[in-house]
Amino acid sequence: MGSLFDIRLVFEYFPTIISRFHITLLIVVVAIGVGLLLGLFIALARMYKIPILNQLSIVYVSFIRGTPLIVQLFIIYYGFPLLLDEIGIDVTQWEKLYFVLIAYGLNNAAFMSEIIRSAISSVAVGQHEAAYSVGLSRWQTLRRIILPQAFLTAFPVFGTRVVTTFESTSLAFTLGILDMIGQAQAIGSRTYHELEGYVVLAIIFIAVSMILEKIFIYAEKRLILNRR
Amino acid sequence: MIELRNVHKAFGQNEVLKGINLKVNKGEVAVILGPSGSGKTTLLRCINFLETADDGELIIGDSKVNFRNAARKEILAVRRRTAMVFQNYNLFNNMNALENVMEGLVTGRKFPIEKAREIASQALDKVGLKDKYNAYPLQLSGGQQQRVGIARAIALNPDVILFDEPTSALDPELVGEVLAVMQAVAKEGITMIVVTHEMSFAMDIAQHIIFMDGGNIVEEGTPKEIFTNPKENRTKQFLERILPRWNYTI
Amino acid sequence: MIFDFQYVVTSFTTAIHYIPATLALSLIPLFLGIIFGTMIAVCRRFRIKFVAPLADIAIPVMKGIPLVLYLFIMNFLIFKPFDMLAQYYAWADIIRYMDKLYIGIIAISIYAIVIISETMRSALMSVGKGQYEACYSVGLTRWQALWRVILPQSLPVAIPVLGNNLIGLIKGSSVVYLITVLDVMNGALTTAQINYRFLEAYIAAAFIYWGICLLTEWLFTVWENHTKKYQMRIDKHNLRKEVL
Repeated sequence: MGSLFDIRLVFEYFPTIISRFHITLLIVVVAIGVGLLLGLFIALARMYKIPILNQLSIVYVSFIRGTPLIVQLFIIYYGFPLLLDEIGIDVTQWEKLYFVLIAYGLNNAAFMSEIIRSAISSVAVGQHEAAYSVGLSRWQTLRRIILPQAFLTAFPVFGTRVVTTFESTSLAFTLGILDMIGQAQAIGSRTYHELEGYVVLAIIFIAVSMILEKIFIYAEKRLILNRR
Repeated sequence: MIELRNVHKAFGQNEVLKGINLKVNKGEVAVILGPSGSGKTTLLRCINFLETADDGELIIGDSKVNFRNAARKEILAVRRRTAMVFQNYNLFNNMNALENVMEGLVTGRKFPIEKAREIASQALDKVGLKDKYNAYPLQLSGGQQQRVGIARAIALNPDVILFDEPTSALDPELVGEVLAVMQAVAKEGITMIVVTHEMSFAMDIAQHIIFMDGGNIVEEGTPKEIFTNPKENRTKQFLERILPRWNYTI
Repeated sequence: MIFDFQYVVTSFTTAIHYIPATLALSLIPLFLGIIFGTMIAVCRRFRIKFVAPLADIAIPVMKGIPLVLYLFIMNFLIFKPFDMLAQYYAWADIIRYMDKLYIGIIAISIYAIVIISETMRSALMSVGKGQYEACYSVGLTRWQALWRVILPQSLPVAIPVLGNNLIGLIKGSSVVYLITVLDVMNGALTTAQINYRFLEAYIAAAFIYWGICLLTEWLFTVWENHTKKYQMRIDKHNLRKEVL
């Protein structure tokens, strides 16, 4: 039995738990990277109303926004092998981490596409018209005029998205990934001292999300200053 | 009667009011003139405690408040004897014109709804908005919004109405309707303290002109004294700069 | 194993019986969040002594903690002391039948209060200084101003964000299956535990969550348009669409 909470164990567990931080970081980086690329693609499909792709994107974004991340994680985990098996790729030997990365990437793409889309549509119509009037093509207009302006609007929301993604990595352990939470759980079930592990996790999550927020606020200020 | 004694106000290091003494009689229309940054708007805002002055006294009618240690109750009492018309109207965006005028009566002064509605509709009729009772602020033009603002002030039947540059935010063609309403209010004998750049209003309507510069009252007197025969150099300079402009409007 | 839609239907029909649990796990926290979150936001806006500085520190800190952690910590704090006593006195039955739904509701509520207090704070800040001054100039007190003018104007700003908060809570509530609460997610899985059709079970759960979230979104849009009657311009491209 023993006491419910022992502060010394917090210090003892801290190094063990933080040693799995790189897994969390990997998930965040891949999720943001995939999310940005795929998200831009989805956003463009919707903005320029490309037939079929547009409708597919609408359903896709709605589905991702309307279902829990855990459910998406498991659907990818169980469903992806079936899908790939159809086209003759055997993924039974894959590590679970790959499925987690795919799931977080696909999840983020939907949210990123919404951020990008609303940022682009926040650029005034006059900017498009002015660009066309000096003879730029649609793609040139987007690249030279619209995206640079949209970037500034999107940046703070992008920052929030990164922090949210970081916090949402707390669900990856449900697939059995040995990230920070997985580690804390393992310690907990071994020693029956779960609370100390949770406290360590809380401290790490609070610290990292606050640092991320500060970085983004600082970066935003710099961006706005450079623009002047 | 409203009186200010030795009012000081600083924002950080910046001293905006440097000991203002001012007396405005009952029924008088007083206009405060001065270059921007002279402290005239701050002075007006101190009178109904939208800014709390650092030092000094305020006397309205029979009540006397010290700025240094004004209790929340005293502030509320002063606010209920004054009313304000704002530069950018500040109508309550969630209420229509009639509700805007009724709000101070019903919620602030606990008038019965029926009584308040009667007073409010009379006030709106006075400012020429008989057909706009149900319009929301964003459906009204700037001039109409400001007239609702004036109706909101007169409905409260305050001891004094403070006007903070009431026409500065308006398109030129809408200034006239607001000035006409202000003139009508003045004729009813309501005490008014007006900060404005409309020289025609100052000349024709005001009985008392106060010229401020650098946080001090430089000179005060009747319009005739100030406009035709200013004593102080700073007043002369200020008037010379703006005189040509109002000459055109005559 | 080949994907079989029949099993999705089986799972779906089982899981829909647990919709009330999922709604309890999200609507009660939403309600508590709006009440206490608004109170916290108002205290911060008016700089109420002690409460405001405390909230200035506590809210950003608590915002950093993921929902799962709240759940685990509350589960531990509420359940573990019980568990130990039970082992000691051999109350095995009590533990087995103790409904952990309440632990889920408590954990999600704490999370909701933190999130919604931030929603209400930014909604309150969207009302300009001029509106306060106008209230004071016609002789309203601070609380009268808040009640009559500031909150009614904050609400239309807050509603779409509250809608997103609720969707976040509905989706987030699915984590309670980790402490064995029977909600939509866990309900869908009960069939899979018998027939091992996990993919079908998760897809069934996804459809139910999707449906609830679409309905929520629609209801909040209707509500928002209703409260916006006095605002002529409606900002269609709201960047706050961001959700959990």
